[in-house]
Amino acid sequence: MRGVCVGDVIEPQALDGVLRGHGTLLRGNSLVASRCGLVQRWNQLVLVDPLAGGYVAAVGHVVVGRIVQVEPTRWLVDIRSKTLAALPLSTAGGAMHKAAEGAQSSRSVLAEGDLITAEVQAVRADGHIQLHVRDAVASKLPPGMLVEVPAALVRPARKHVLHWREAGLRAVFGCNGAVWIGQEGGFSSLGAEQLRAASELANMVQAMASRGEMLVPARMHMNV
Amino acid sequence: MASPLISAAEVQWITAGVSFNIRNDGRQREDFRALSVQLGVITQATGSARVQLGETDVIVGVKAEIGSPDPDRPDCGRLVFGVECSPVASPAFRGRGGDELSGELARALERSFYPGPSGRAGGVDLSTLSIVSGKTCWVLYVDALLLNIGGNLHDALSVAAKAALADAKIPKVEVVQGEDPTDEPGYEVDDDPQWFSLYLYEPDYEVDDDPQQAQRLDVSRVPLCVTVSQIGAHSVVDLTAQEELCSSASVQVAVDESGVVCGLTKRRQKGVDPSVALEMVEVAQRSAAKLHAALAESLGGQQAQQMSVG
Repeated sequence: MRGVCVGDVIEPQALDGVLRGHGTLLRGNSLVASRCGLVQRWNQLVLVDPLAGGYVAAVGHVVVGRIVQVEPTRWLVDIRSKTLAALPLSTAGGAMHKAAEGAQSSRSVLAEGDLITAEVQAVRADGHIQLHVRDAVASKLPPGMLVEVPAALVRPARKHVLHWREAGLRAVFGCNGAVWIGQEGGFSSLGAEQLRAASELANMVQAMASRGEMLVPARMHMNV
Repeated sequence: MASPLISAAEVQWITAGVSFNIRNDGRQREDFRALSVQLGVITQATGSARVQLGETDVIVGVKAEIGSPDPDRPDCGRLVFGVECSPVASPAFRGRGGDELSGELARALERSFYPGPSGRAGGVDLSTLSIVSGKTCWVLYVDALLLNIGGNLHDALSVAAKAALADAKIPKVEVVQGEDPTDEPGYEVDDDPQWFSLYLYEPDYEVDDDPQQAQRLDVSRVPLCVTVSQIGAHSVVDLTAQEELCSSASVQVAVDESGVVCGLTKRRQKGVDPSVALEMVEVAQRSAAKLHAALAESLGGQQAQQMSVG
């Protein structure tokens, strides 16, 4: 893995066999980086994977997002990407029946400002992102705080939730760089130790992010 | 997220934290975030300062220009405040989006420097900026640019304005005899005997560019503004952008170096009981002392450096 800055030469002689990917430029005969990042080579394809930059959604990513708009059939969610993502009402399960009966509106399930965790179900060619949750009500996050870091530091992994049972905390590391730290389990009252532990974890995440370290919950072991 | 929304769950978390004196970043209720002050960041300006208070980032530049005094205060110079919200800080500030906020911030700055009817009672003694009484004076344009909105803009701006004025090096002006004869007598001239003459001339001025001769402003009486807000039942200082969404009552207090309250503004929609407001003013006085100390330390170090280099 080679790190490059804008202007660095990747391939001094870019022959016909080389496919130019994102983040590269052809200057004369040589391939030059146009973003700062890591050089990736896949068969003939050479590209630069940028370090900074907004979140690029892909199918299967678990993200933490905020509801910004409520529509009758769906919610629009800010996941720190170029466009808002859509969460259809059909995923709301039981709530959909109530909405159909007119007893409740979609706003009573998820309102503007609410934080949710969801999985990216589909990314269309035009950039439209569709989210999916098992249950809309369960996707709403309990009391907690949000820490925002560069999306590149959180890679999609099997384990994206950190459980810290002794402190009564749970941390969800969204692939979009939104890390939510908050209450584990039911909606019990908040204790001073819980809040202190959460602020320490938040500061640790910020410190790691400012040093450019990857945030991998599977490798984090919490000592109370 | 770019949207200024917050969930009820987050508000509950922040409010609970404040009640236990543990904020989201681990600070206590009366703690300020890390303050960084850099002087002289704009070389073409008369004086400038960049202040970073946590995520909040502001630059203030001071430009001194020759102008005419207010007719009500002929012996004084003038301070003119302007604030600009850069689109870099938020997409909401494209075009004219930031006008309301920038107007509000500029007025708040103006009020903290209000010089009274004599022009001498404010943070900066405006009579030191006069050149020729009733005709010519220095006008200091104090312009602020908001680079990043991280909460607590008022306090960051007041620190930056004070620092920029402390950094200002106003060129020395000599009032000398001019070329055109007029009927106007009575002005100060240089002691050099070659200037004495039988004719009475219109006073003129020469600006000396030598930085060693520059006039520095006395900013020791300039107050700093501290915003104290209510989150739940507690008073909190230096709120982040998220915490500001949890508070609906705040008091802005201008306090000078000796701890005297110079100005008081109640902000936001919720009312506070007078006893609570008094408590908040006391919190502001305590916090202002810390802020003054932090700024003085930063200024002292940088100005000493400037003296030794220059």
